[in-house]
Amino acid sequence: MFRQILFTQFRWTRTLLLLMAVFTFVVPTLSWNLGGNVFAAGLAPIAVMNGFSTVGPMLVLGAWTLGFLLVALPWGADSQSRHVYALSLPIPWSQYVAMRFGAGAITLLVPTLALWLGSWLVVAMIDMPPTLRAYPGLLALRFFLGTLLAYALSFLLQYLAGRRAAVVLLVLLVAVFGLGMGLSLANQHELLARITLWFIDWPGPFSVFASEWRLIDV
Amino acid sequence: MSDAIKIRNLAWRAGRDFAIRDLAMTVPTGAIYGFLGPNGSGKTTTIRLMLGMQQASDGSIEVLGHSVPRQAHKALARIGYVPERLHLYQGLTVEESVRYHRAFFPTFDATEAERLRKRFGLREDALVAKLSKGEAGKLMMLLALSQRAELLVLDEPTDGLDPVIRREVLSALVEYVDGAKATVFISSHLVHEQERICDWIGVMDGGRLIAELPMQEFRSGIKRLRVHKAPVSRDATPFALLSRETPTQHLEEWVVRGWQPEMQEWFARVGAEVRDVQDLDLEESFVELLRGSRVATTTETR
Repeated sequence: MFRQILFTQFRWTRTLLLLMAVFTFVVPTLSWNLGGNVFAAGLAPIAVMNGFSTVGPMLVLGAWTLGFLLVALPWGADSQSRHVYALSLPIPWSQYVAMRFGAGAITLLVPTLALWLGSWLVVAMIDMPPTLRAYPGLLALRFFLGTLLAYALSFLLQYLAGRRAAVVLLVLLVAVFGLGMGLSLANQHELLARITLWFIDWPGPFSVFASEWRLIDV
Repeated sequence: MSDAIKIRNLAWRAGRDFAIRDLAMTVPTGAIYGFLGPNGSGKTTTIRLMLGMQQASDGSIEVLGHSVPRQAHKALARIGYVPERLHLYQGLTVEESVRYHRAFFPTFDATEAERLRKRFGLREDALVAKLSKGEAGKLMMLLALSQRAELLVLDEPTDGLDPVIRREVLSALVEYVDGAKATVFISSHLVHEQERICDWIGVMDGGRLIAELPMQEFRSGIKRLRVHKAPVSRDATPFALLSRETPTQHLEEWVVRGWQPEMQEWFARVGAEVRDVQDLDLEESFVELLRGSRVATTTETR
């Protein structure tokens, strides 16, 4: 059962996954370009570090985009028949939704693996001094967790709100914006800062996106 | 004999315009139950409620002994369902669709699916999105029949199909029912098609089941009478009067349900005389039944 769900998930998202795999593979290699050492034998780690600080945010954007589309595409395929097929299968809806979620989460491994390979390739080209360390595995793990978070939020919104997801999202954004405005107008910056920190500081739900994503660090 | 489907006091509402009210329906096990009704009468909604895809606001539904929607997934494992519109994934091929479907239904017979695929002339590698309406209908029927289901729920399965494909699909269905002794619940507005294969009829109109009876009774129980000196009052008739018209001054045409020859005596008692009793075909009966029900509803609401 799950194998077939995974198969359809892959079928609907394979183009997206391929594009994202190319993207995540290319992003670390872009740090060569930006570091100004393209094709040079023995890349300078500092140049790669600098280059990566420019391309790193692209990975964050990629994680959110992938997380959102990975839900939207299968949802679109299911809603073509107004979910009649999914609802006529002899399993509880909750089980179907759980399997869909699991299948999507597994496919996240494709761009994650591509990122790890791209990062590993860049690191292999560097003469690393003893004071610095490369983290291709951790970077890939961070990308996976970030994408998983974006995917889970998008999934939750879509499967709970269904066709009303866009409206719910808009209401949430207005509410957050309104809260922020209200708090700043009331001159309670400290409270706003505390709320923000609760979200982005470890173990806050968005802490994976908080600090800069690095391939090389001390 | 137990009942494959038992619905009691079912209620459901969609906004102000449409509601299913106090619906009671019984489909005996082994029956081929024709669910007739004009477009928009609530047939598809009733089916969706029956399969647990929508939730009723009141009433109870039991399908193959399982309470729906609570145990809908258990019932669905024993039901072959063909919806009115293509519900399969358009990005899959015929073969992939069969494989996907098979994974969910433990009784699925892959050999039968292959036999039906060849019989229906469906290419394994054909993409579902590229199938014609007829081919898509055949694929949905193939999947439902290959499940070896105890109950087939077919929502307008031949609607829009050309006569050749319709015949192919119906003959596969009849073959299956003969072999498997399955119960079939088939919704349609094609009255003649129902007449050929069904042994029970339920008629739905405006969200209400206005008649439910064995086909034989439906065929023979609705008559057109030519009545001389018809009484003005319509009270206390021993049959259900569906409509009455006055084509000439002294002669009325009555369409009645539940007619028996001995009921002529009632006319004699009220000083009238039945000059002629005509059989109606199923389509005429269906139309008269709807007309009678709508007249009654209008009178009630006044």
